[in-house]
Amino acid sequence: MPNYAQTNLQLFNQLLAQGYTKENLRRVHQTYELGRLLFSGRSTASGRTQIVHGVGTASILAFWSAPAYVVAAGLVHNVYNNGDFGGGRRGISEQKRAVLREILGQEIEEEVANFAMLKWNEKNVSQFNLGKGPLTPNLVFLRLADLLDHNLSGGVFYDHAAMKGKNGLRLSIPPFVIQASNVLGVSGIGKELERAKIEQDSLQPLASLHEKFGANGGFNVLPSSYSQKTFLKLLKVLARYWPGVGAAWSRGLKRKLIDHGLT
Amino acid sequence: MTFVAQTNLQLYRQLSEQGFSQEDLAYMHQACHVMVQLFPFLYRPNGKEHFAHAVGTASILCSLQKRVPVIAAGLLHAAYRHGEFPSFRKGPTKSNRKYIQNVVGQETEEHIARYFYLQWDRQNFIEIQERFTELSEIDRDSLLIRLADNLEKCVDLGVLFVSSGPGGKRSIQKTGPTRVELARKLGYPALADQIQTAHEAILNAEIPSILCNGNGAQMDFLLVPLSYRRSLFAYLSSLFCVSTSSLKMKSFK
Repeated sequence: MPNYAQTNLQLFNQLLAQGYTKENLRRVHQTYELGRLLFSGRSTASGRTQIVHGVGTASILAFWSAPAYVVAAGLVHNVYNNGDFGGGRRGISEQKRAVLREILGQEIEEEVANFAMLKWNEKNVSQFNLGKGPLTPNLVFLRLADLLDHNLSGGVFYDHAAMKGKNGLRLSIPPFVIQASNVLGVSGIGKELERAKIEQDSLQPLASLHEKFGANGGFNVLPSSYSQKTFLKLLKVLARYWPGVGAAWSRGLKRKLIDHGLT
Repeated sequence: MTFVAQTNLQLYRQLSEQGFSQEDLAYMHQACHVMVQLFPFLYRPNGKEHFAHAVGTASILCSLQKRVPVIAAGLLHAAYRHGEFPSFRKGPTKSNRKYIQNVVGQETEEHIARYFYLQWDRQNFIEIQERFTELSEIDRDSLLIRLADNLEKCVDLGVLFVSSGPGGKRSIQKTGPTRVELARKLGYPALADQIQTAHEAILNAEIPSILCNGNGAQMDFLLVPLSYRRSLFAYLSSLFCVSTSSLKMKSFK
Protein backbone atom coordinates (compact mmCIF):
# COMPACT_ATOMS: atom_id res chain seq x y z
CA MET A 1 0.00 0.00 0.00
CA PRO A 2 1.46 3.42 -0.87
CA ASN A 3 2.45 5.77 1.93
CA TYR A 4 0.06 8.65 1.47
CA ALA A 5 1.13 12.14 2.57
CA GLN A 6 0.21 13.39 6.03
CA THR A 7 1.91 16.79 5.87
CA ASN A 8 2.01 19.62 3.35
CA LEU A 9 5.69 18.83 2.68
CA GLN A 10 4.98 15.20 1.87
CA LEU A 11 2.12 16.23 -0.40
CA PHE A 12 4.20 18.82 -2.27
CA ASN A 13 7.07 16.34 -2.69
CA GLN A 14 4.57 13.78 -4.03
CA LEU A 15 3.14 16.25 -6.55
CA LEU A 16 6.64 17.26 -7.67
CA ALA A 17 7.55 13.61 -8.16
CA GLN A 18 4.32 13.08 -10.15
CA GLY A 19 5.30 15.92 -12.48
CA TYR A 20 2.56 18.43 -11.68
CA THR A 21 2.81 21.68 -13.62
CA LYS A 22 3.76 24.91 -11.86
CA GLU A 23 0.23 26.25 -12.24
CA ASN A 24 -1.27 23.13 -10.66
CA LEU A 25 1.30 23.22 -7.84
CA ARG A 26 0.38 26.84 -7.21
CA ARG A 27 -3.33 25.99 -6.98
CA VAL A 28 -2.77 23.15 -4.53
CA HIS A 29 -0.35 25.25 -2.47
CA GLN A 30 -2.78 28.14 -2.28
CA THR A 31 -5.59 25.81 -1.24
CA TYR A 32 -3.39 24.35 1.49
CA GLU A 33 -2.64 27.83 2.83
CA LEU A 34 -6.34 28.68 2.93
CA GLY A 35 -7.20 25.31 4.50
CA ARG A 36 -4.65 25.58 7.28
CA LEU A 37 -6.13 28.96 8.27
CA LEU A 38 -9.77 27.85 8.16
CA PHE A 39 -9.04 24.53 9.91
CA SER A 40 -6.65 25.95 12.50
CA GLY A 41 -7.44 24.52 15.95
CA ARG A 42 -9.92 21.99 14.52
CA SER A 43 -9.30 18.33 15.26
CA THR A 44 -10.86 15.06 14.15
CA ALA A 45 -12.17 12.67 16.81
CA SER A 46 -8.81 10.87 16.86
CA GLY A 47 -6.77 13.97 17.67
CA ARG A 48 -5.43 14.08 14.13
CA THR A 49 -6.04 17.61 12.86
CA GLN A 50 -8.52 18.43 10.10
CA ILE A 51 -5.85 19.80 7.77
CA VAL A 52 -3.91 16.53 8.07
CA HIS A 53 -7.05 14.67 7.05
CA GLY A 54 -7.38 17.07 4.10
CA VAL A 55 -3.75 16.45 3.11
CA GLY A 56 -4.25 12.67 3.34
CA THR A 57 -7.37 12.86 1.17
CA ALA A 58 -5.61 15.06 -1.42
CA SER A 59 -2.64 12.70 -1.48
CA ILE A 60 -4.88 9.70 -2.24
CA LEU A 61 -6.61 11.66 -5.02
CA ALA A 62 -3.26 12.68 -6.53
CA PHE A 63 -1.92 9.14 -6.34
CA TRP A 64 -4.96 7.86 -8.26
CA SER A 65 -4.51 10.56 -10.90
CA ALA A 66 -7.42 12.86 -10.07
CA PRO A 67 -7.32 16.23 -11.88
CA ALA A 68 -5.42 18.94 -9.98
CA TYR A 69 -8.56 20.89 -9.09
CA VAL A 70 -10.06 17.77 -7.48
CA VAL A 71 -6.81 17.23 -5.54
CA ALA A 72 -7.05 20.84 -4.34
CA ALA A 73 -10.72 20.31 -3.43
CA GLY A 74 -9.65 17.24 -1.44
CA LEU A 75 -7.53 19.47 0.79
CA VAL A 76 -10.54 21.48 1.94
CA HIS A 77 -13.34 19.03 1.13
CA ASN A 78 -15.12 19.45 4.48
CA VAL A 79 -14.35 23.13 5.01
CA TYR A 80 -18.00 24.23 5.05
CA ASN A 81 -18.79 21.92 7.95
CA ASN A 82 -15.54 22.09 9.87
CA GLY A 83 -13.83 25.32 8.82
CA ASP A 84 -13.90 28.51 10.85
CA PHE A 85 -14.81 31.36 8.50
CA GLY A 86 -14.97 33.88 11.31
CA GLY A 87 -18.76 34.09 11.38
CA GLY A 88 -19.22 31.74 14.30
CA ARG A 89 -21.47 29.48 12.21
CA ARG A 90 -20.77 26.13 10.60
CA GLY A 91 -22.35 24.86 7.38
CA ILE A 92 -22.53 26.10 3.83
CA SER A 93 -23.80 29.59 2.98
CA GLU A 94 -23.83 31.75 -0.15
CA GLN A 95 -21.44 34.27 1.43
CA LYS A 96 -18.88 31.60 2.25
CA ARG A 97 -19.23 30.14 -1.24
CA ALA A 98 -18.61 33.54 -2.81
CA VAL A 99 -15.41 34.04 -0.82
CA LEU A 100 -14.10 30.57 -1.63
CA ARG A 101 -14.98 30.99 -5.32
CA GLU A 102 -13.04 34.23 -5.43
CA ILE A 103 -9.93 32.76 -3.83
CA LEU A 104 -9.83 29.21 -5.18
CA GLY A 105 -11.84 29.54 -8.38
CA GLN A 106 -15.18 28.08 -9.41
CA GLU A 107 -13.96 24.59 -10.31
CA ILE A 108 -12.55 23.83 -6.86
CA GLU A 109 -15.36 25.52 -4.97
CA GLU A 110 -18.04 23.55 -6.81
CA GLU A 111 -16.49 20.25 -5.77
CA VAL A 112 -16.28 21.41 -2.15
CA ALA A 113 -19.90 22.60 -2.24
CA ASN A 114 -21.04 19.26 -3.70
CA PHE A 115 -19.29 17.51 -0.84
CA ALA A 116 -21.29 19.57 1.64
CA MET A 117 -24.63 19.37 -0.15
CA LEU A 118 -24.99 15.97 -1.85
CA LYS A 119 -25.87 13.15 0.51
CA TRP A 120 -23.54 10.14 0.64
CA ASN A 121 -25.94 7.36 1.49
CA GLU A 122 -26.84 3.89 0.24
CA LYS A 123 -29.59 5.15 -2.06
CA ASN A 124 -27.45 7.75 -3.82
CA VAL A 125 -24.36 5.52 -4.11
CA SER A 126 -26.45 2.64 -5.48
CA GLN A 127 -27.99 5.00 -8.03
CA PHE A 128 -24.54 6.21 -9.02
CA ASN A 129 -23.53 2.61 -9.59
CA LEU A 130 -26.41 2.37 -12.08
CA GLY A 131 -25.37 5.58 -13.82
CA LYS A 132 -28.15 7.65 -12.25
CA GLY A 133 -28.73 9.94 -9.28
CA PRO A 134 -27.26 13.22 -8.09
CA LEU A 135 -23.69 12.13 -7.26
CA THR A 136 -21.02 13.31 -9.71
CA PRO A 137 -17.92 11.21 -10.53
CA ASN A 138 -15.64 13.78 -8.90
CA LEU A 139 -17.70 13.76 -5.72
CA VAL A 140 -17.58 9.96 -5.55
CA PHE A 141 -13.82 10.14 -6.10
CA LEU A 142 -13.56 12.66 -3.23
CA ARG A 143 -15.79 10.59 -0.94
CA LEU A 144 -13.80 7.40 -1.58
CA ALA A 145 -10.52 9.20 -0.84
CA ASP A 146 -12.03 10.72 2.30
CA LEU A 147 -13.22 7.29 3.44
CA LEU A 148 -9.88 5.66 2.70
CA ASP A 149 -7.91 8.30 4.61
CA HIS A 150 -10.15 7.88 7.67
CA ASN A 151 -9.80 4.11 7.55
CA LEU A 152 -6.09 3.93 6.78
CA SER A 153 -5.14 6.03 9.78
CA GLY A 154 -7.12 3.89 12.20
CA GLY A 155 -8.75 7.16 13.21
CA VAL A 156 -12.29 5.82 12.86
CA PHE A 157 -11.80 3.82 16.04
CA TYR A 158 -11.67 7.06 17.99
CA ASP A 159 -14.93 8.31 16.57
CA HIS A 160 -17.64 7.00 18.86
CA ALA A 161 -20.31 8.03 16.38
CA ALA A 162 -18.60 6.09 13.56
CA MET A 163 -18.08 3.10 15.81
CA LYS A 164 -21.76 3.03 16.70
CA GLY A 165 -22.59 3.11 13.02
CA LYS A 166 -24.24 6.52 13.16
CA ASN A 167 -22.10 7.63 10.27
CA GLY A 168 -23.02 4.40 8.57
CA LEU A 169 -20.73 4.10 5.61
CA ARG A 170 -17.50 5.07 7.28
CA LEU A 171 -16.40 2.03 9.24
CA SER A 172 -18.40 -0.71 7.60
CA ILE A 173 -17.26 -0.15 3.97
CA PRO A 174 -20.28 -1.91 2.40
CA PRO A 175 -20.12 -3.65 -1.01
CA PHE A 176 -21.91 -0.85 -2.87
CA VAL A 177 -19.06 1.53 -1.90
CA ILE A 178 -16.50 -0.91 -3.28
CA GLN A 179 -18.67 -1.21 -6.39
CA ALA A 180 -18.68 2.59 -6.76
CA SER A 181 -14.87 2.52 -6.95
CA ASN A 182 -15.13 -0.04 -9.77
CA VAL A 183 -17.74 2.01 -11.63
CA LEU A 184 -15.52 5.08 -11.29
CA GLY A 185 -12.51 3.19 -12.66
CA VAL A 186 -10.43 3.38 -9.49
CA SER A 187 -10.85 -0.18 -8.29
CA GLY A 188 -7.46 0.21 -6.55
CA ILE A 189 -9.10 2.47 -3.95
CA GLY A 190 -11.76 -0.20 -3.38
CA LYS A 191 -9.08 -2.84 -2.87
CA GLU A 192 -7.22 -0.57 -0.45
CA LEU A 193 -10.44 0.03 1.48
CA GLU A 194 -10.92 -3.73 1.84
CA ARG A 195 -7.30 -4.18 2.89
CA ALA A 196 -7.56 -1.29 5.38
CA LYS A 197 -10.55 -3.00 6.96
CA ILE A 198 -8.57 -6.22 7.42
CA GLU A 199 -5.57 -4.29 8.72
CA GLN A 200 -7.73 -2.64 11.33
CA ASP A 201 -7.73 -5.92 13.25
CA SER A 202 -4.00 -5.44 13.84
CA LEU A 203 -4.82 -2.19 15.62
CA GLN A 204 -6.65 -4.02 18.40
CA PRO A 205 -3.85 -3.35 20.93
CA LEU A 206 -4.89 0.29 20.73
CA ALA A 207 -8.52 -0.53 21.50
CA SER A 208 -8.37 0.61 25.11
CA LEU A 209 -7.07 4.00 23.99
CA HIS A 210 -10.01 4.40 21.68
CA GLU A 211 -12.53 3.76 24.42
CA LYS A 212 -10.79 6.16 26.77
CA PHE A 213 -9.86 9.02 24.48
CA GLY A 214 -12.37 8.93 21.63
CA ALA A 215 -14.86 11.68 20.86
CA ASN A 216 -18.13 12.14 19.02
CA GLY A 217 -16.82 13.60 15.79
CA GLY A 218 -14.45 16.55 15.40
CA PHE A 219 -13.79 19.19 18.01
CA ASN A 220 -12.10 22.55 18.52
CA VAL A 221 -8.94 22.82 20.56
CA LEU A 222 -8.88 26.10 22.39
CA PRO A 223 -6.33 27.08 25.03
CA SER A 224 -7.62 29.16 27.92
CA SER A 225 -5.68 32.17 26.66
CA TYR A 226 -8.07 32.49 23.69
CA SER A 227 -11.78 33.21 23.57
CA GLN A 228 -14.46 33.64 20.95
CA LYS A 229 -14.79 37.18 19.68
CA THR A 230 -17.61 38.79 21.63
CA PHE A 231 -19.21 40.56 18.68
CA LEU A 232 -19.88 37.24 16.92
CA LYS A 233 -22.98 36.54 19.01
CA LEU A 234 -24.32 39.98 18.17
CA LEU A 235 -23.50 39.38 14.51
CA LYS A 236 -25.52 36.17 14.50
CA VAL A 237 -28.60 37.93 15.90
CA LEU A 238 -28.28 40.91 13.55
CA ALA A 239 -27.82 38.67 10.51
CA ARG A 240 -31.24 37.17 11.17
CA TYR A 241 -33.01 40.54 10.77
CA TRP A 242 -30.71 42.46 8.44
CA PRO A 243 -29.33 40.70 5.36
CA GLY A 244 -26.78 43.49 4.84
CA VAL A 245 -24.88 42.17 7.86
CA GLY A 246 -24.04 38.99 5.95
CA ALA A 247 -22.60 40.98 3.06
CA ALA A 248 -20.60 43.19 5.43
CA TRP A 249 -19.24 40.08 7.16
CA SER A 250 -18.29 38.66 3.78
CA ARG A 251 -16.32 41.83 2.94
CA GLY A 252 -14.61 41.66 6.34
CA LEU A 253 -13.64 38.02 5.72
CA LYS A 254 -12.13 38.92 2.35
CA ARG A 255 -10.05 41.64 4.02
CA LYS A 256 -8.81 39.14 6.61
CA LEU A 257 -7.85 36.64 3.93
CA ILE A 258 -6.01 39.36 2.02
CA ASP A 259 -4.12 40.11 5.26
CA HIS A 260 -3.06 36.47 5.28
CA GLY A 261 -1.81 36.80 1.70
CA LEU A 262 -4.47 34.47 0.36
CA THR A 263 -5.84 36.30 -2.64
CA MET B 1 15.56 7.26 5.44
CA THR B 2 13.84 5.51 8.35
CA PHE B 3 10.09 6.07 8.74
CA VAL B 4 9.30 9.19 10.76
CA ALA B 5 5.73 9.43 12.10
CA GLN B 6 3.96 12.71 11.42
CA THR B 7 0.62 12.16 13.17
CA ASN B 8 -0.35 10.98 16.63
CA LEU B 9 -1.95 7.87 15.08
CA GLN B 10 1.24 6.95 13.20
CA LEU B 11 3.19 7.40 16.43
CA TYR B 12 0.85 5.10 18.39
CA ARG B 13 1.21 2.49 15.69
CA GLN B 14 5.01 2.80 15.73
CA LEU B 15 5.09 2.45 19.53
CA SER B 16 2.80 -0.56 19.33
CA GLU B 17 4.93 -2.21 16.62
CA GLN B 18 8.10 -1.60 18.65
CA GLY B 19 6.57 -3.50 21.55
CA PHE B 20 5.78 -0.70 23.98
CA SER B 21 3.23 -1.70 26.64
CA GLN B 22 -0.40 -0.58 26.91
CA GLU B 23 0.59 1.67 29.84
CA ASP B 24 3.28 3.29 27.70
CA LEU B 25 0.77 3.85 24.91
CA ALA B 26 -1.73 5.39 27.31
CA TYR B 27 1.03 7.61 28.70
CA MET B 28 2.02 8.76 25.20
CA HIS B 29 -1.61 9.39 24.40
CA GLN B 30 -1.79 11.62 27.44
CA ALA B 31 1.37 13.44 26.29
CA CYS B 32 -0.18 13.93 22.83
CA HIS B 33 -3.29 15.34 24.46
CA VAL B 34 -1.15 17.87 26.36
CA MET B 35 0.70 18.75 23.15
CA VAL B 36 -2.56 19.49 21.35
CA GLN B 37 -3.60 21.79 24.20
CA LEU B 38 -0.25 23.60 24.24
CA PHE B 39 0.26 24.23 20.53
CA PRO B 40 -3.15 24.36 18.86
CA PHE B 41 -2.40 27.13 16.36
CA LEU B 42 1.35 26.81 15.89
CA TYR B 43 3.01 26.26 12.50
CA ARG B 44 6.60 25.78 11.39
CA PRO B 45 8.15 28.35 9.03
CA ASN B 46 7.64 25.87 6.17
CA GLY B 47 3.88 25.82 6.82
CA LYS B 48 3.87 22.39 8.47
CA GLU B 49 1.90 22.04 11.68
CA HIS B 50 3.97 22.09 14.84
CA PHE B 51 2.14 18.90 15.91
CA ALA B 52 3.72 17.05 13.01
CA HIS B 53 7.17 18.32 13.93
CA ALA B 54 6.72 17.38 17.58
CA VAL B 55 5.43 13.91 16.70
CA GLY B 56 8.30 13.47 14.23
CA THR B 57 10.85 14.33 16.91
CA ALA B 58 9.27 11.79 19.27
CA SER B 59 9.18 9.22 16.47
CA ILE B 60 12.93 9.59 15.82
CA LEU B 61 13.62 9.08 19.54
CA CYS B 62 11.29 6.08 19.51
CA SER B 63 13.21 4.51 16.62
CA LEU B 64 16.39 4.97 18.69
CA GLN B 65 14.76 2.75 21.35
CA LYS B 66 14.73 5.51 23.97
CA ARG B 67 12.59 5.19 27.08
CA VAL B 68 9.08 6.66 27.16
CA PRO B 69 9.92 9.74 29.30
CA VAL B 70 12.55 10.78 26.73
CA ILE B 71 10.15 10.15 23.82
CA ALA B 72 7.47 12.21 25.58
CA ALA B 73 10.02 14.96 26.22
CA GLY B 74 10.74 14.93 22.49
CA LEU B 75 7.04 15.39 21.86
CA LEU B 76 6.82 18.33 24.24
CA HIS B 77 10.31 19.74 23.69
CA ALA B 78 9.03 23.19 22.69
CA ALA B 79 6.52 23.46 25.55
CA TYR B 80 8.33 26.22 27.42
CA ARG B 81 9.23 28.19 24.32
CA HIS B 82 5.89 28.14 22.48
CA GLY B 83 3.29 26.49 24.75
CA GLU B 84 0.00 28.18 25.64
CA PHE B 85 -0.20 27.43 29.35
CA PRO B 86 -3.24 28.00 31.60
CA SER B 87 -1.06 30.54 33.45
CA PHE B 88 -0.89 32.60 30.20
CA ARG B 89 2.88 32.79 30.62
CA LYS B 90 5.62 31.24 28.56
CA GLY B 91 8.82 29.68 29.84
CA PRO B 92 9.62 27.29 32.68
CA THR B 93 7.88 29.29 35.39
CA LYS B 94 7.03 27.54 38.62
CA SER B 95 3.38 27.10 37.68
CA ASN B 96 4.15 25.91 34.15
CA ARG B 97 6.63 23.34 35.42
CA LYS B 98 4.09 22.12 37.93
CA TYR B 99 1.47 21.87 35.19
CA ILE B 100 3.75 19.72 33.03
CA GLN B 101 4.83 17.61 36.03
CA ASN B 102 1.20 16.94 36.88
CA VAL B 103 0.31 15.71 33.42
CA VAL B 104 3.42 13.83 32.27
CA GLY B 105 5.45 13.32 35.43
CA GLN B 106 8.65 14.69 36.89
CA GLU B 107 11.19 12.83 34.79
CA THR B 108 9.73 13.95 31.47
CA GLU B 109 9.37 17.50 32.76
CA GLU B 110 13.01 17.59 33.83
CA HIS B 111 14.06 16.59 30.33
CA ILE B 112 11.88 19.32 28.81
CA ALA B 113 13.25 21.97 31.16
CA ARG B 114 16.83 20.84 30.56
CA TYR B 115 16.20 21.02 26.82
CA PHE B 116 14.90 24.58 27.21
CA TYR B 117 18.05 25.68 29.00
CA LEU B 118 20.34 23.97 26.50
CA GLN B 119 22.14 26.58 24.43
CA TRP B 120 22.68 25.45 20.89
CA ASP B 121 25.19 27.62 19.16
CA ARG B 122 28.63 27.10 17.67
CA GLN B 123 30.51 28.25 20.77
CA ASN B 124 28.47 25.97 22.95
CA PHE B 125 29.04 23.09 20.54
CA ILE B 126 32.80 23.42 21.07
CA GLU B 127 32.39 23.58 24.83
CA ILE B 128 30.16 20.50 24.81
CA GLN B 129 32.72 18.60 22.74
CA GLU B 130 35.52 19.60 25.12
CA ARG B 131 33.85 18.27 28.22
CA PHE B 132 31.76 15.58 26.63
CA THR B 133 32.74 12.88 29.12
CA GLU B 134 31.57 15.01 32.04
CA LEU B 135 27.99 15.33 30.74
CA SER B 136 25.25 13.75 32.84
CA GLU B 137 22.70 11.30 31.43
CA ILE B 138 20.01 13.97 31.29
CA ASP B 139 22.34 16.37 29.43
CA ARG B 140 23.12 13.67 26.89
CA ASP B 141 19.41 13.02 26.44
CA SER B 142 18.83 16.75 25.94
CA LEU B 143 21.48 16.77 23.23
CA LEU B 144 19.86 13.75 21.64
CA ILE B 145 16.44 15.46 21.67
CA ARG B 146 18.08 18.47 20.01
CA LEU B 147 19.59 16.28 17.32
CA ALA B 148 16.22 14.58 16.77
CA ASP B 149 14.58 18.01 16.56
CA ASN B 150 17.14 19.10 13.97
CA LEU B 151 16.79 15.94 11.94
CA GLU B 152 13.01 16.25 11.96
CA LYS B 153 13.29 19.75 10.49
CA CYS B 154 15.18 18.18 7.58
CA VAL B 155 12.66 15.37 6.99
CA ASP B 156 10.87 15.69 3.62
CA LEU B 157 13.32 18.49 2.69
CA GLY B 158 11.53 20.66 5.28
CA VAL B 159 14.13 23.42 5.48
CA LEU B 160 13.79 24.10 1.74
CA PHE B 161 10.09 25.01 1.92
CA VAL B 162 10.82 28.10 4.03
CA SER B 163 10.75 31.37 2.12
CA SER B 164 14.50 31.71 2.79
CA GLY B 165 15.11 28.24 1.26
CA PRO B 166 18.83 28.67 0.39
CA GLY B 167 19.45 29.77 4.00
CA GLY B 168 18.64 26.22 5.08
CA LYS B 169 21.32 24.85 2.78
CA ARG B 170 23.92 27.29 4.10
CA SER B 171 23.10 26.36 7.69
CA ILE B 172 23.52 22.67 6.89
CA GLN B 173 26.84 23.27 5.15
CA LYS B 174 28.01 25.15 8.25
CA THR B 175 26.81 22.97 11.11
CA GLY B 176 25.88 19.67 9.46
CA PRO B 177 29.19 17.83 10.02
CA THR B 178 29.24 18.84 13.69
CA ARG B 179 25.77 17.36 14.20
CA VAL B 180 26.79 14.12 12.54
CA GLU B 181 29.89 13.94 14.74
CA LEU B 182 27.87 14.68 17.87
CA ALA B 183 25.41 11.86 17.07
CA ARG B 184 28.35 9.45 16.72
CA LYS B 185 29.88 10.67 19.99
CA LEU B 186 26.57 10.14 21.77
CA GLY B 187 26.67 6.54 20.59
CA TYR B 188 24.03 6.65 17.85
CA PRO B 189 25.76 5.84 14.54
CA ALA B 190 22.41 5.06 12.85
CA LEU B 191 21.18 8.54 13.77
CA ALA B 192 24.43 10.04 12.44
CA ASP B 193 23.87 8.24 9.13
CA GLN B 194 20.26 9.44 8.99
CA ILE B 195 21.32 13.04 9.60
CA GLN B 196 23.99 12.76 6.93
CA THR B 197 21.52 11.28 4.40
CA ALA B 198 18.92 13.98 5.14
CA HIS B 199 21.55 16.71 4.76
CA GLU B 200 22.79 15.32 1.45
CA ALA B 201 19.23 15.13 0.13
CA ILE B 202 18.68 18.77 1.02
CA LEU B 203 21.95 19.95 -0.50
CA ASN B 204 21.10 18.18 -3.78
CA ALA B 205 17.45 19.25 -4.02
CA GLU B 206 15.73 22.28 -5.51
CA ILE B 207 12.19 23.30 -4.58
CA PRO B 208 10.14 25.69 -6.75
CA SER B 209 9.62 28.95 -4.87
CA ILE B 210 5.83 28.74 -5.39
CA LEU B 211 5.76 25.87 -2.87
CA CYS B 212 7.50 27.84 -0.14
CA ASN B 213 5.43 29.12 2.75
CA GLY B 214 3.54 32.13 1.44
CA ASN B 215 3.51 34.32 4.53
CA GLY B 216 7.29 34.76 4.55
CA ALA B 217 7.65 33.53 8.15
CA GLN B 218 11.21 32.85 9.28
CA MET B 219 10.16 31.56 12.69
CA ASP B 220 7.32 29.44 14.04
CA PHE B 221 4.05 31.34 13.66
CA LEU B 222 0.48 31.26 14.97
CA LEU B 223 -2.67 30.97 12.90
CA VAL B 224 -5.49 31.84 15.24
CA PRO B 225 -8.95 30.73 13.99
CA LEU B 226 -10.89 33.66 12.60
CA SER B 227 -13.62 33.49 15.27
CA TYR B 228 -11.17 33.70 18.15
CA ARG B 229 -8.69 36.11 19.63
CA ARG B 230 -6.31 36.26 22.54
CA SER B 231 -8.32 37.05 25.63
CA LEU B 232 -7.81 40.41 27.28
CA PHE B 233 -6.74 38.79 30.53
CA ALA B 234 -4.13 36.69 28.74
CA TYR B 235 -2.89 39.75 26.88
CA LEU B 236 -2.54 41.80 30.08
CA SER B 237 -0.83 38.90 31.84
CA SER B 238 1.73 38.59 29.08
CA LEU B 239 2.50 42.32 29.43
CA PHE B 240 3.70 41.69 32.97
CA CYS B 241 5.37 38.43 32.15
CA VAL B 242 9.15 38.02 32.41
CA SER B 243 10.52 37.56 28.90
CA THR B 244 11.50 34.00 28.19
CA SER B 245 14.88 35.07 26.89
CA SER B 246 15.86 36.32 30.34
CA LEU B 247 15.01 32.90 31.72
CA LYS B 248 17.65 31.29 29.54
CA MET B 249 20.40 31.99 32.01
CA LYS B 250 21.44 28.50 32.81
CA SER B 251 23.47 26.72 30.21
CA PHE B 252 25.76 23.76 30.05
CA LYS B 253 28.47 25.77 31.76
